[in-house]
Amino acid sequence: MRYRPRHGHSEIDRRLIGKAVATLVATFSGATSLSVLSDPAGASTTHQVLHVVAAENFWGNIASQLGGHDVSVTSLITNPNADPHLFETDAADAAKLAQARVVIENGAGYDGWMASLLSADSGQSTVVNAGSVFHVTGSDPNPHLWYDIPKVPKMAAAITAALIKADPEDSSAFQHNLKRFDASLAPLTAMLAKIKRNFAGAPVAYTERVPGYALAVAHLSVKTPPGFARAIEDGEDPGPADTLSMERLLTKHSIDVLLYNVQTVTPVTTQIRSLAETSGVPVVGVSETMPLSDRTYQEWQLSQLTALLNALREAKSKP
Amino acid sequence: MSPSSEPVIELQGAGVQMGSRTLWKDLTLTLRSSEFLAVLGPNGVGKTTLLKVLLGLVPLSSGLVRVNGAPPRRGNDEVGYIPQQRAFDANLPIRARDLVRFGLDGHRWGPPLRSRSYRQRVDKVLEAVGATSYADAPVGLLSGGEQQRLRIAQALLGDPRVLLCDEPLLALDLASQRAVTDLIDQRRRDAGTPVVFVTHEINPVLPYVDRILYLVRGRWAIGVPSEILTSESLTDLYGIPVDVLKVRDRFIVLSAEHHLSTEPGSHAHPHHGEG
Amino acid sequence: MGIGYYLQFGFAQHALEAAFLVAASCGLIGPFVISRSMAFAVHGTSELAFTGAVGGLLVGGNPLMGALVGAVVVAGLIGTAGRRPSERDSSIGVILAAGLGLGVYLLGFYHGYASEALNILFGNIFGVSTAQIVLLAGIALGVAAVMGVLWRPLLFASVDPDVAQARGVRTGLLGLIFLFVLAVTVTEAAQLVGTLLVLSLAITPAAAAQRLSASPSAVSLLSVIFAIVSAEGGLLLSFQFASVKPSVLIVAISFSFYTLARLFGPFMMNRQRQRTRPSGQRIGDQGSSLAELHHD
Repeated sequence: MRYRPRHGHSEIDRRLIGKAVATLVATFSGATSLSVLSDPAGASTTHQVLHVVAAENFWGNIASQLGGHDVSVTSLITNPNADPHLFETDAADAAKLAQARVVIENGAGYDGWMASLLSADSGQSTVVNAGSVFHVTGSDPNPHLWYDIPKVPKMAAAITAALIKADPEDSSAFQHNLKRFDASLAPLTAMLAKIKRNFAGAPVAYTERVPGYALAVAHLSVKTPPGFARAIEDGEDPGPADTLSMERLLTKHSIDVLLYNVQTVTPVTTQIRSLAETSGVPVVGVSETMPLSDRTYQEWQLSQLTALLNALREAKSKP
Repeated sequence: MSPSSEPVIELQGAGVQMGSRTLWKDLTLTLRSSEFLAVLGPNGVGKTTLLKVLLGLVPLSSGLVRVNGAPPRRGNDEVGYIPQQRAFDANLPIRARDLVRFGLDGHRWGPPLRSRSYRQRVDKVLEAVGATSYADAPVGLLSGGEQQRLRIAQALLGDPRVLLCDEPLLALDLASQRAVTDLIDQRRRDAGTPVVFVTHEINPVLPYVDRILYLVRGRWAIGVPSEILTSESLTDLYGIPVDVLKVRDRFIVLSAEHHLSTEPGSHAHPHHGEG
Repeated sequence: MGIGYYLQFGFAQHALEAAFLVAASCGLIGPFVISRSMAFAVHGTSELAFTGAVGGLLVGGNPLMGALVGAVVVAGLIGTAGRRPSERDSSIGVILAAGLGLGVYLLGFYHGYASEALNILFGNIFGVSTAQIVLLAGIALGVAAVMGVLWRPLLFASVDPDVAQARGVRTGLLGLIFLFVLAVTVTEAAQLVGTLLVLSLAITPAAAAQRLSASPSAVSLLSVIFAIVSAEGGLLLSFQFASVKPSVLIVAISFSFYTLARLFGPFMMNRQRQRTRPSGQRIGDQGSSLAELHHD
């Protein structure tokens, strides 16, 4: 009995291809029918809300304070537990970005992915870039500009200017909010001054440059080997020499306080933290993005600075 | 194609060197239509290299070679090549007919053409070797005998004027060995195509062999089986005592030092490339 | 907010266009990646796109060109590293380690823009500009043209290298050209969907296609179709479920194709496995019909 295929071979393959094409068509027709059912535009209110998108939630929080109920702010990085260097947008965020009239980014190499996101759509928006506002230059600047509290009013002013440009009608409200915001920074400024007054020159260390600017304002002396901080910031393991230096700072009590980035947890940073605890060096947790538990930027920064002050006092009180 | 007395393959004083090592030298032989030449010798001696020279893949270091009156060139349809069987992955998306079709247009640039005449030619040659029943089967699922039939079909597509076979019976069962050899010989009989058959087992092809070329470490001898397969000839070639026993129609070659495999069903570990 | 809402945005249209181009290219090379056992090379090349990107930043401020050049260099290195799969895998491992180390070292010189280079690894499908679409289209056309021309001899050389050589096919040269095509395609895909997902477009669709047909042209066609449907389908779904990352959905669809193909493949292929001897006796597809021969 000779074998005879039931169908010609090319027919079978055409069937297969037919099935695949049918799947493709079904996907697209499903998509089209769904789009018919969808709501093509958000319900409009009598008062148009200004769409603002911030790359990071702390700038977003400041923007919403400055804009009040006249703006709707979306922050792209809100999860305080995620490494902000690894980021993929979803469609909802991408759409908000395309529609935003004001876009706020940090710049200074921190959120380079924003550039490609902005290039993908031709929305008209004013981009407020903190790095530009602060005139950050150099080949390796510390990008954590939101810790540079004396300069934050400059950023707030730039954001307000952008809001006014996009929504001139609400200009007076925005300016009023700006004044209120600047005033609300007073406790922060006072806290920094207090730390400086009592602890200027005190040696401290951090796992990354995150709180760097605030420490500089408070005249605290940072002893972390630059290579160590840089490596952690890049997501690499520091070299053995830098790690050893860092460990010695703790074991020899050469520093009073360790500032630990709670959002970048690696075996090395965990180990440094444990070493600090066992060596009796107070640990202050700082975060890169604003935790969900804090309601405002000011609240966040103030609680961290307060913890720092207490830690410095604790270190001083030890023999 | 009618057989002619023009030499199909000519070697004159041919030699091949690999680096500083000489494989064989001063090789002179002529192959004419309808001739079945078996090439024997221990592993590594250069049997496959001889085929590569005839395929135009390896140049001679000395001497002269002619295939159909011209120097050998790669991709010559007139030279049919039948390799030993190889393992194909069971999932490989190549059917028997695709493997055979390589012999027709596998070397041409461009995407595959849906050519009816190509398909007919492939069908025809599949039928000639008795492979029609598994023409659409994946090659990875075929037995060795089935695969080797496809190899013959692949070579026949070019209507070759000579068939070069490189251990085509390796690891085949006896029935398949007979079937494959018979197909090859059938071509020889039908079209006068001479055959160069590299093997290390002479017995399966002995009934078909006209002459044997025996290569040993740089030396060679050529003649009819009764001349070559003698203790004297092989002792002279190998330079060590070698005994040739004839058991009924089969030859067994033994040496005092190690067993030189010419027993049916036995095979030394095949080397591919040098010999 | 349904699919229709998002389709009006430029970023969405660009994403759909780019995904189509990348998927088509990946689908074309996929079957050859499998038959040439080059899955590891795909992964290695896409990782090394990072080093090229950093180099490109250092030299000319253009990470994409740097990634492409780097990919080509790496492909060349891998191509000269050894022909046998066992040799190749270990040499790819060596080149990969060296290349990544070089990338980290180079990064030290170009620090401030680290995240920009890292974008090469974690591509943003919603961040594709019009200029990039043009570039991707050019690359896709090039890949399609080269693969079209190479198709028959490359298939021959991949499946049956010894006989291909005997027939005059320049197997070494073809292998090298394919390696370049692979490097360029993979780098382009990594730019878009990230290194992590390159495998889901360059290999999974082809693997699924293989389970459904033994005809090489059918497998190539199915591979392209599955890749495109995975990429476009994943994107469209990400417009419907707008808070799910598109990469997740693309991988999910690609993997579903593979799973379905594995489940239903045997039924499609059944007729090819049931063969009869002239005597009428059924031949199975078990080991008895497979040669026990081992090569290399």
